[in-house]
Amino acid sequence: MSWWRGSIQGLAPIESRIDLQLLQDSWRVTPSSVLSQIPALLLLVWMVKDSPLPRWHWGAPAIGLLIVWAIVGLMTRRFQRFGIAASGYRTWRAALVGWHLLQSVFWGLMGVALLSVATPSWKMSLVAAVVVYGYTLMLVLVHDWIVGFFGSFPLLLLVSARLLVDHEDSSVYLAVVLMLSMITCMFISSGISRRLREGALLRHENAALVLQLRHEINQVTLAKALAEGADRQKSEFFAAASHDLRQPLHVMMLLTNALTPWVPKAEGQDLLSKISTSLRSLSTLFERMFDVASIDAERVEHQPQALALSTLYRRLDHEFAVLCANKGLSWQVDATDAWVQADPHITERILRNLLNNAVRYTHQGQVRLRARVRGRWVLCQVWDSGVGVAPEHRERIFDDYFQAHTTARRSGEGLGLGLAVVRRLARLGRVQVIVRSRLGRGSCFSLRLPLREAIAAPSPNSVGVSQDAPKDPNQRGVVVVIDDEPQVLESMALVLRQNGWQAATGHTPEIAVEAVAALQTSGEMPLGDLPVAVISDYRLGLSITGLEAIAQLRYEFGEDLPAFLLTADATADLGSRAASVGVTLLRKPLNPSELIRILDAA
Amino acid sequence: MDHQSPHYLLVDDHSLIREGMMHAIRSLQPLARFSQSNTCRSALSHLANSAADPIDAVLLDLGLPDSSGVDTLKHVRQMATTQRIGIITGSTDAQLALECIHHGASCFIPKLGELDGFMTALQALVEGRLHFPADLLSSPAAMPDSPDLLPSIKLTPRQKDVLTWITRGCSNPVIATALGISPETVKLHVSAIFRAYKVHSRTQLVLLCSRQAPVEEQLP
Repeated sequence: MSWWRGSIQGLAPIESRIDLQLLQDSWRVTPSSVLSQIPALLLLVWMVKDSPLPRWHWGAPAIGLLIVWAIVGLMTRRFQRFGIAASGYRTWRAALVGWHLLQSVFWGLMGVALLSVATPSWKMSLVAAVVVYGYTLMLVLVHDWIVGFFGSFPLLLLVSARLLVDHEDSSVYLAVVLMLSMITCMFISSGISRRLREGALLRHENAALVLQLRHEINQVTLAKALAEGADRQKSEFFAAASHDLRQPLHVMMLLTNALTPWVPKAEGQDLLSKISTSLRSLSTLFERMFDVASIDAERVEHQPQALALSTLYRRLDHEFAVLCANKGLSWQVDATDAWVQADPHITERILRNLLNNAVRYTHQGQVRLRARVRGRWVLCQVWDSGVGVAPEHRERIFDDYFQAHTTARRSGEGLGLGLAVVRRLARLGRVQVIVRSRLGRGSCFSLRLPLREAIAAPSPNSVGVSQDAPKDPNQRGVVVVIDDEPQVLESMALVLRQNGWQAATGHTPEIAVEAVAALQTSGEMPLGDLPVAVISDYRLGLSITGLEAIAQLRYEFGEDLPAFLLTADATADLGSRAASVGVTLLRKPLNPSELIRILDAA
Repeated sequence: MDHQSPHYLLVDDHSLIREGMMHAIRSLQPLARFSQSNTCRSALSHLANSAADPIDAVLLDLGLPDSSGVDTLKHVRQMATTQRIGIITGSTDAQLALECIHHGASCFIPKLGELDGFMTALQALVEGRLHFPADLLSSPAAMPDSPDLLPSIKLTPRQKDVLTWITRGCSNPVIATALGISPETVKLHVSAIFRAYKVHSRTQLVLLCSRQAPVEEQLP
């Protein structure tokens, strides 16, 4: 880079762009300064035209200035039309510098001419004008101090030199003041312009970086989406293929099993059991692979909720007690009444996988399922006295297809996907699985779940059907009435309704039951409710008696349904027969208030 | 049902699978007799013409050439109103299993995994019990409010009748005909059973009952 920024070749792209931009700014802004200089020139010419100075002393610089300005005017027009290309930088830069240099020289010559005839007070004014000129120029060209320098230094030099030639003290002072002020101005201007340029450079660099960054982010996002899409497609293909792969495998297992009684020889049985074993491990492998695939295909959802560990543990207890017994292992569950906030499905699958794993790798001793409350957490632990995991393998056991024990692989017991499924499920369920193990001594896998308070613990005595819903005081329940007299039914229903009961009536038990159902269908009786009592006449004019009708009603609505037998009969043993089946005997005629009192007590 | 020589209808489009299933069931019930269908249409005509030799249970693959998914079950259920239907499928989709329960399947038996598990499930089917995969029972959709209450639920005798038919997968009108009571009364009892079990749907009820079975066995 040449010191006056005469060329932009060999600069960084950003720098050259900025220099070009600055040059264009200069050409856009500075030509207007000429417009204010023209009146100043005319005024000066008018003032000195009658002085004794030789005319060419001031005429020549004035004409020079006019010629410069005319050229600048033409170039400005051109600039406004075509702008500046990068290739034209050198020319336009030279023109800019040349213009300000010539303008400064001509003003300097003009100043020298004027100083030779000026009175001391006019000298002062002239110096002030020079200072103003210099400062203004520097301000206008603050972004490009080099041009400002060329535009003011010759003027300053010429005027100062003329002042020094005077050999007058006042003139020397003026010259010194002039030079000092102009030098100070130049330093400030150069500092500002350098900082401006650096700022512009930084801004451009930042913009370029942001652009680049945005581009890279786009690319990364795209690549990630593509990769995820491909991965999901793979998993979905897997999950979909599972159906077709499982069927024939399953048939093979069935047929192999069916073949067993038909192979009498020991050698054949041996081969058959080997086929069965390999089929079983093939099947297990498939299941695990499909598990992994379905988790990866995001077919498993994570829905944390309140979960009672006791229920979960009881289920696992049923399942694994049998498995352990089959393998000759002792099985122990330390139940807990703690509740956790976790996804029940995922938690159960993780524990079941861990337990399966424990059973698989334990050849003697025991498998335990425990729960321990630690502060705000519950540790669900699966202990085994199995083969254990060497410390160097601890990180890798959760990897797909990794197996610490090659013996297990050889015997076809597992295929190393069980813990990979656990890892995926744990990530999905946002829970932590911790492993502690000693090689040859056993392992402990802990699942850390957040503790929470129990919700609506079921109380052991809330068994009854009708006890759980609070009763509306105006809805005291349905009473079934069976009688062969329609008038009796009507009047009973009336009395019951007036006292807050509902009535389901009929002259046979079947019709009475339908009446109950109709009450529910019509919405008068809440869903799930059953009648609270039955009142039946003893003589129904049918082939059955009231006691049999009550038995039918109790078959429908519960053996402990309060029942009342209305009778006008004086059969001696009826009372004891009724009492023996828990039916209260009521004598006809029954006064309504008595009926209500008895029902209230029931 | 004739317990000595029960009659099963096997519906699967793979003859090999039907073959394998027959062998598997014969190992449990040597006298079992079989009818076979490879399409939904032929299964329906089998059921329609089975009056002389009634079919006790249907073993149904959902993916057939002329029908697939839960629709297959719906078609067969329309014709086999009282028979138990076991779904034998290659799918482990819990949602599908729940839909099958909703539409009256007594068993949902995935054709995969260990043979022992499959045989246990088949045994449940031939013995008239319910069977659903263990993972399914723990799915959030199937989780009833308080499963702890199970052993202490008291039902009226009629409700027990109704529950038996519900676990066979029968609809309310079918149950009403079978028990000789009105569909409204069936509904009355079904609502009461739901409340007793604290469930909100047939599916939850059936799942709960299938889980209850081993509990009952342990009771004295």
